[in-house]
Amino acid sequence: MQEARKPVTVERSVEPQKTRYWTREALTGWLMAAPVILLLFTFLIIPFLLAFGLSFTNQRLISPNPTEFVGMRNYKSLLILRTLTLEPTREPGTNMPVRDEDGAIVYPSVRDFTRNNPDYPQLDGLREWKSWHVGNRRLVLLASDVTFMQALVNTTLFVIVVAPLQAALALLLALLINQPLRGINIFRTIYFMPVVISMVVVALLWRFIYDGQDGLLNSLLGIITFGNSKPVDWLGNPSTALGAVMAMSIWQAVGFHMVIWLSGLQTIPFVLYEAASISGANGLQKFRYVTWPGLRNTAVLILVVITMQAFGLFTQIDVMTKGGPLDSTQSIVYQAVQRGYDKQDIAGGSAISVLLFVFVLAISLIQRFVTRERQP
Amino acid sequence: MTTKRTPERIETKSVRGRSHWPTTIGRYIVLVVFGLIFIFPIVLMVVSSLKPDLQLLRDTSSLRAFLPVGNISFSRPLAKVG
Repeated sequence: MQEARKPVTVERSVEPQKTRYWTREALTGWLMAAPVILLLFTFLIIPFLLAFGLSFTNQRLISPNPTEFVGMRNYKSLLILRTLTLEPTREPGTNMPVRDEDGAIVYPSVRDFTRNNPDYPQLDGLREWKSWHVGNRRLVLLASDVTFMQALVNTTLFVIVVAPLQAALALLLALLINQPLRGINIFRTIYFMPVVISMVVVALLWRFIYDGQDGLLNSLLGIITFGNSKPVDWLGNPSTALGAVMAMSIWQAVGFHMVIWLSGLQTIPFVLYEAASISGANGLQKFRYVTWPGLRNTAVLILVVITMQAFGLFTQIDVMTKGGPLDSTQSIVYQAVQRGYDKQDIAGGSAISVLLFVFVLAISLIQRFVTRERQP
Repeated sequence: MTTKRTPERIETKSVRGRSHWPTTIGRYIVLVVFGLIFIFPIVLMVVSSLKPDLQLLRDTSSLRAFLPVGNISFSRPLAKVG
């Protein structure tokens, strides 16, 4: 008699070769992280999603009217840029350009094109931002939100100047304090002290230092140049205000990045320096061939962090210049706050925040791409 | 890990083995100059909090801004405002 052979199966509660995910350790880990995750969710993720959603509406901070969905109107009111070329007004008979009392050429008013002009519907409501003279003509750049455009330019300028300067200065300081001199810890503390002071306090201090009449900076310059320098109103002059804010920001933040560079410096094995000395390298060559390659990862980290922090320029502006003489110290975050809370246009402020997020994300991705490890 | 982090001794010795103190002094000078740059607003803040208002304006026009001279009072920062 032949029995049909049945395969022997063994009942198991767990499939073989598959470990359970929800082990005790995993559960404990998630529970320990839960409070922070909750906080992050409530104060970071949800506000961001709200901002993203609000930017497509016409929500005001306090308003009896119901909120309406308006699509891209907020973004359009921020980002439209157009150009307009103006010909000089010409005399009807001779076709010569009309000139005014000072001999300058008279051009048609920009308003004629931007207000209710049926031939130029795309220019409706725009305002003049900058203009240049090209030959006989005048080239006008129009923007839907001149202050926001200026804020964009200022913030970008700030980042372009501050990021490399601050990183380089921090590296210099880190190299300085990496020496085993006696009392070097005192200097480390001194260089780091500005970082621990609140930015508001630092900004107030520097406002007194930068003051046009009684400021310390003007006094010091007067002493150094033996009374030959005139006092400058650093924060009241549109050409110096942004520079003054840059200097103060670098002063405050450089200690932090100095410590990051220092930690990177101290992971370079000393034997490499010894090998370089034996090969006859001098100080500069040691830096170029041992130190700098070893600092590559730190450099990428510092570059990305400084850029992100610099784009968030706000506190100094709010305390010191409030957007500055003639918008010369406007910044993107300050515009967002001004729009959202001063002008009560929370939807516009949200739109600016979303734009900033996209902008910074794009730049960070570009930075990561440019500094990636290339396969040999 | 047994790799040394920072050199145990600064290499300031010349060929003959004598310690090259001008280099060390030079390094200290640079450190002190930067130290002054980073600490002067903090000193200004602490010292100014001890001075009466009238004296403040007078002192900021000279180096006396950093010195605790004049009518200083350590209870001024604790005084009620307004």
